[in-house]
Amino acid sequence: MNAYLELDRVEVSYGAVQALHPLTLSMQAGEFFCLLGPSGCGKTTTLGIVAGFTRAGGGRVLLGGQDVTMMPPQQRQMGVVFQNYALFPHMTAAQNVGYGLKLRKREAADIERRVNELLALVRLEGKGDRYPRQMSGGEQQRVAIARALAIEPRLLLLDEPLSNLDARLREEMRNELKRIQRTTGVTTIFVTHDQEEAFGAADRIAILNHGRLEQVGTPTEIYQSPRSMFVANFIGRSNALNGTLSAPGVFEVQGQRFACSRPAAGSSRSWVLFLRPEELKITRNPASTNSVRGTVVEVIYIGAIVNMRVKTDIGELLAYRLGTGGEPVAAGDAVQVGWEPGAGSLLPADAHG
Amino acid sequence: MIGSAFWRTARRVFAIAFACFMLMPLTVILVVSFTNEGYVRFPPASFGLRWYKAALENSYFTGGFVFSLEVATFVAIVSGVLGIAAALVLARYRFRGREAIVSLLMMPIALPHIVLAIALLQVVATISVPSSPYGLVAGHLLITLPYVLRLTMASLAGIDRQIETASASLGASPWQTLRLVILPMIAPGAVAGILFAFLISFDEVTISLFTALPDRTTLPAEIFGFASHGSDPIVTAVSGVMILFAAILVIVVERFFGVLRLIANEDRPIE
Ligand SMILES: Nc1ncnc2c1ncn2[C@@H]1O[C@H](COP(=O)(O)OP(=O)(O)OP(=O)(O)O)[C@@H](O)[C@H]1O
Ligand SMILES: [Mg+2]
Repeated sequence: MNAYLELDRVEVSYGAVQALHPLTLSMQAGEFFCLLGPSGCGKTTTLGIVAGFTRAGGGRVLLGGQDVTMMPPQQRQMGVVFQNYALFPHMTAAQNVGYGLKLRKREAADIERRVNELLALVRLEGKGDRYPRQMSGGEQQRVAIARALAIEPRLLLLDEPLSNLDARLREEMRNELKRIQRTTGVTTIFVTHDQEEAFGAADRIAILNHGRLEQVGTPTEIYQSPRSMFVANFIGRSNALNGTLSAPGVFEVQGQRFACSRPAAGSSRSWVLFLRPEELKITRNPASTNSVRGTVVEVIYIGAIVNMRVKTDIGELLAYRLGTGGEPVAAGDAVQVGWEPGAGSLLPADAHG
Repeated sequence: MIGSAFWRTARRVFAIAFACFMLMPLTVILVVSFTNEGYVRFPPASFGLRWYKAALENSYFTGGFVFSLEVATFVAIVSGVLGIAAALVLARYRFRGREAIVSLLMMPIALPHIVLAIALLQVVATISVPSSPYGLVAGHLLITLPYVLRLTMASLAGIDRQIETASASLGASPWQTLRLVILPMIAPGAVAGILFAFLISFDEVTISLFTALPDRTTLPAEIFGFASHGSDPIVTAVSGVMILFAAILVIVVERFFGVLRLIANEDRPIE
């Protein structure tokens, strides 16, 4: 299938700052795509390139096969939702939503019908004649989404739209966004620095760091097979074990040898094995294989999950398990921490990130 | 708290005292203007519309009123257009010398009017045009423009640039964004500036006196001339007309734009 949106070696620099190194990225029609990365990594810049607010210093942007690199934003037909909503304060919610249609010289009755449809879609029926300052953050946010959708955008672009909301409303709005996106089928790019948000909403995620693309993939791919040190460290929690591949299928850490069936891509002298806390198994059985001896330092219950910190000969390890599973352990207990040979991700230690 | 009621009362007393202080001279003039006697005294011995009638029949005053109205209207419109345009450019673009231009445009506020007036007379004499209305209007523009500029720039500073970006993304050309978003958003500030411009021009004395020609002078200049010859109650009646005129203007504009709330920096409730 041909890509709907393609960024082809797009570059941006602000003076001496290279905000975006040549970036190549493509999206399918109807996808809910997330740009995820730490502050300053170039997410807003990338969105600006797609919307036409930011001028590319090189490369091309293709939308539905058409080169739009030089097209001004007002011709691109893209619905943008800004972090602070950027609603027009002197217009009612309905006027805000109808603004793009009015510019397109639609008939008044037509506009009214469409505006009511959209207000219903974002669950703001009957609130059309309120001014933005008379609405809550969540309501303003929904007006902004309705306004962006009104122009039947070729892409819906959202720049950290949930970051001004409290935790509970944020989750509600995230689900709302998913629902709206499924209902309308609009191809969506969602920018966030919050991984939970990205993982909860996206079909695919692109991870950016320092203006470079680190990895693109489904949430599962990214969580289970991070392809760079940066991604492995940035996404979720990990135990990083520095070691060498002393023999085929053997990972050696500080003289201790573990079976490792993970594929080692490329050649490197030293490697890092990233183990997710939930991949670690804690038992009191000293005979358990592929494990290391340790002493429990701390046990914390966080809801259904138990966090355990264990001091071992190869460093302190963090393990999770469900509160109900396994033998109970307490601080001070002598335990074995083990994992499957196929667990974790093996990355060369000299890679950047 | 015990203190809060006390402070609330204190604030109210202060507000009332301050209002009385501000309104006292106006009230005295208004009361005196309704005297039926031939001299100025407060309180008047008898009341009547005698001096209002006299003022309306006096061609110096009616002529001055019409001329003042013409000048103030012209000055308000021109300083409105120039002030808004300058504010849009100065608030939106960063360029070398921008600060200097803003300071230069604001300077006439700080200059004594008499200095401006003398300078203007030199200029109109040099380029040999009549000082009234040309020098007069130019002088008024110099002192009214800063108000429009400052109030409009303050309104513009409150507009988030992303609002313009949002407008563009929805399909608006820069011109449409200006017309449909920016101008409506700065309207209260700009209208307040234009109202100030009108009232300042309408009330201005010094420049008007210096640039006056016998048949082309403003109402305040006429009043000044009359008042310096003696205390004829006709002057109080003319003042009364000016006060009423300004009050009506402020009230009408306020009803439509809520500019006083903007100046007072209060939130404007939306019905
Ligand atoms: N107008 C600008 N002038 C100079 N540098 C800029 C400009 N805009 C962005 N940058 C720089 O470009 C880099 C990327 O910025 P960008 O706004 O895309 O980051 P972001 O990923 O959106 O970050 P955040 O999560 O903080 O919003 C940053 O280093 C930033 O400082
Ligand atoms: Mg950003």
